[in-house]
Amino acid sequence: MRVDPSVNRNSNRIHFANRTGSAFWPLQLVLIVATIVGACFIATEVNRLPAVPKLTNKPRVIMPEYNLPMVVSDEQLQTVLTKIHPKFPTTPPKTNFVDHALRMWGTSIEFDDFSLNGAQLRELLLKYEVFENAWGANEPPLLKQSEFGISVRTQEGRSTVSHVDHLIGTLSEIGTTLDHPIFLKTRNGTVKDLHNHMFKSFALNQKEYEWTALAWAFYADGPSTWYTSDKQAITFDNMARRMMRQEQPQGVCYGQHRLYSMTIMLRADDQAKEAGQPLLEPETREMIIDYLGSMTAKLYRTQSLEGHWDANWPDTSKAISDPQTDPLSRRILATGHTLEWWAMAPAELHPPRETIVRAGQWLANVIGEMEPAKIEKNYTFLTHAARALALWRGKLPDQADVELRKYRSYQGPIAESQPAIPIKQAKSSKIQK
Amino acid sequence: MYNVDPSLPLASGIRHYVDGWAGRILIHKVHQAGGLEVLSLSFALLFTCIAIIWSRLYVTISGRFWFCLASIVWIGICFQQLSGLSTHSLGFLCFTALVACTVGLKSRTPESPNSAEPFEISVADFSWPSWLAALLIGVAWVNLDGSFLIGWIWAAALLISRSITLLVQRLDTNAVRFWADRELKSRLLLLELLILASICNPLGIKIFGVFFWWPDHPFVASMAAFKPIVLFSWQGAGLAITILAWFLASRFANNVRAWQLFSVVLGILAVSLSSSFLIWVLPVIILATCAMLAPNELADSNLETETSILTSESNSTNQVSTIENPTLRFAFTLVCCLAVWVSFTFSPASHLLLGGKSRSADQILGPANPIEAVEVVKKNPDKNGLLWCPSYWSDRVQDIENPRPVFANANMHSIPKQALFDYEILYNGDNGWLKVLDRYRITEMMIDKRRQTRMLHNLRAKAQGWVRIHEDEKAVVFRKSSSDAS
Repeated sequence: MRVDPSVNRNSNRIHFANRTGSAFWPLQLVLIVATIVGACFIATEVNRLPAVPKLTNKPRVIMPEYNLPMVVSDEQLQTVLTKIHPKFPTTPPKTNFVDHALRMWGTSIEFDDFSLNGAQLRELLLKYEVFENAWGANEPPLLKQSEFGISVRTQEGRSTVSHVDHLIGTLSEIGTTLDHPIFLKTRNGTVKDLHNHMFKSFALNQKEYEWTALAWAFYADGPSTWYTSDKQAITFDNMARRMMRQEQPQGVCYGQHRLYSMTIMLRADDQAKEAGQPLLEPETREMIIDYLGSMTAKLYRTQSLEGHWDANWPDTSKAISDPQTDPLSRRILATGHTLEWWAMAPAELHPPRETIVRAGQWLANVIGEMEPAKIEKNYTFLTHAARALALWRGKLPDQADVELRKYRSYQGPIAESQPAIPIKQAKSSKIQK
Repeated sequence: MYNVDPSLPLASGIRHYVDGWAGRILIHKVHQAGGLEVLSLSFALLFTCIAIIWSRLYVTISGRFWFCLASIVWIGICFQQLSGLSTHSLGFLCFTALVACTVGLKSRTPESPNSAEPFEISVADFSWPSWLAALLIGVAWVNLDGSFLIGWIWAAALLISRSITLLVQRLDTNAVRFWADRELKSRLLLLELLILASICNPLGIKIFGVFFWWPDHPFVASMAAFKPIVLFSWQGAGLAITILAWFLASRFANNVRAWQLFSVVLGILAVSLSSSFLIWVLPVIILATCAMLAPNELADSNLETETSILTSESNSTNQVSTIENPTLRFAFTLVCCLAVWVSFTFSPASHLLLGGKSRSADQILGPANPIEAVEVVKKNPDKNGLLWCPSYWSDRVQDIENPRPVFANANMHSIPKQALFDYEILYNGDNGWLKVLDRYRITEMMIDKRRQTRMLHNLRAKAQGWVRIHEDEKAVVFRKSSSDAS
């Protein structure tokens, strides 16, 4: 007879297994089933990391808050805006120009000259048929189906956009809803598909991230966290820290896009706070305000006598990183972008009024004197500059252009001494002379 | 415990499991108490203890005194892996303790009650202290090192091997009632106890959630990717010889237990995934070999009672050996004392008593460690910027109480892909390195002179605003000048 070798061993041992008696295996069965169910639940829960944040269909509206005619008079503004009308001599117009023009003018604008209307600009970007008519069938489409949604061809030549996620940023700033249709070569989609691709292919350390942050701030439905393909949690807080990480003026457009995006994040946070769902942690908000304040201080110190800044705006003692670029282009770029983020920033982040006025006047005068060829060459920088000037009059460029055109047709030449109506009184500035 | 690796800002927001938190603190405290010398001594003592326990196990299981020398085999083969005190060392101590607990350290002599039976692991014979010890080992292990899963694997292997044994028996004779087997139940309880013990950690029950992280599984990732053992290497050859010895032993043995077979199969599977498992696998395979080489002069009479699954038909030559009771003689004691004294006088600990010079840090850590450069980097760190240094040096600049933000450290699997890609650019000095430095706000670089010649050349020749603050034969430290870093 075979015997279990362990049976006859020391009988004075304590045998847990025997104590449970016949209940041992039923108990084990219950335990195993419970473990399997628990494991399945845990496995699902721990890996359920949203790849896209919670978004609202309609983006928030963030408007300018100041109206300072000293920065740019009505007449100057009308001159500037007229020069930046999207009447591109080159056909087809560079997609980059169209993208920037759409951001500046929005979709409702209609011009009385040979410029492309807002709706046409948008169609050129979002409808393959229109794009194909302009560029020909041999040109690869601007928008294409991707693994995650719809991707935008970027920095691949004249028919593509120049900045990562800039087109989505544009669509958010002009108030495009997520369900707005997009017509591709083979299928149709919506703006949401663009967002899906943008978020799912995002990496926190990628070279350009400013427009991603901006687009998210416009559509964010509360401070939701989402996860990259590396399973890295993305919040407005770590996005802001990423933007502040790099030294200035590193990054595209001399680091000014970072400043603009952070300003928009502050404004979006203000709105979200009113709804009881702030986007930023209070400490991060403080950090951003301190950072932008320190940038304003640098800008205040480095402004030229004429009123402009250059590529080395944080420290004029340092060499310019791109000396081969036309100095005027550089200055318009630096000055236009600076005035643009200041126009949207809380008043406490502004420099003394004189600094803004000098910069605005320099821009208005320089643009007013520019030849059409030069306008076309610098069109993207100029859209930022012209938009900034319109914002300093408390209006978006399309609103300002329409109103000024109406006013002119009603009254003839604009009266020079039109009184300024401040939308919001500027609070005392942190930056003192 | 997760989402926090204070020394790795680029991994912020990436869930992170800190394995062996208590082990790290313990090692840090040892280092604080006595510096590198004490750390080195602790490692030596720890591994001596481990080796002694394994030697004792080999003697216990085989009944032959000279089998204690078998520890030399696996220590010799795995020597490269014994690179200093780490949480893995503490984990290995726990593993050793668990094996000792399950196998038992009591000597088997011809006079002992079970000596007539071939050796079999018997968890059913556990006493209260044994169960308590298993519980304590489980609790300690989960906090000391992330290798506690190996304890589960050991217990699971014992359980499965017992199940196989019983199933084979049942097929043969239908004599053993599978479900009533006390040993089987006890082994299952042992596994459950170890799993239960793992709750006793700062994460509590949430630790089970960590097992399901995917694709960023910390335990899979910590294996440093798929890196099977190379057979044409010292370690590979050592493993092959050990397995050959096991095979030969199985030919001469009367029977092969399921756990003995399992230890080899699992071992081969483990090292074919990663060579780092070798140190866990070899001692167990040797243990299985020793068990097969146990004297079995009395076993023949009980052959029918055995629960073997493999029987060596060719085994006609039963190995018979007589085990002599060790007799303590004065001469033997004297020689042992002399050996201990000689060992002590040659050991670093002797200078405390006998005087003499301490070993230098270079001698303790080895010539590849940039000790001076690390000291420079630790002094006056730039709090606004990031330090880049090769990942294999990053842990040297870390201080558990005051972690220094670095670009990459040993937790390479926690770093986002883009950052890993950029790490390689900086390591090799590839195109775009200057922009990468700016993008991550790196303000300090420690360069490995031997391996990073191109990057070193780049920094010397092309990096404006970077100042060399230290250079020795191993490393060069560059710092971005403060005006540039502002």
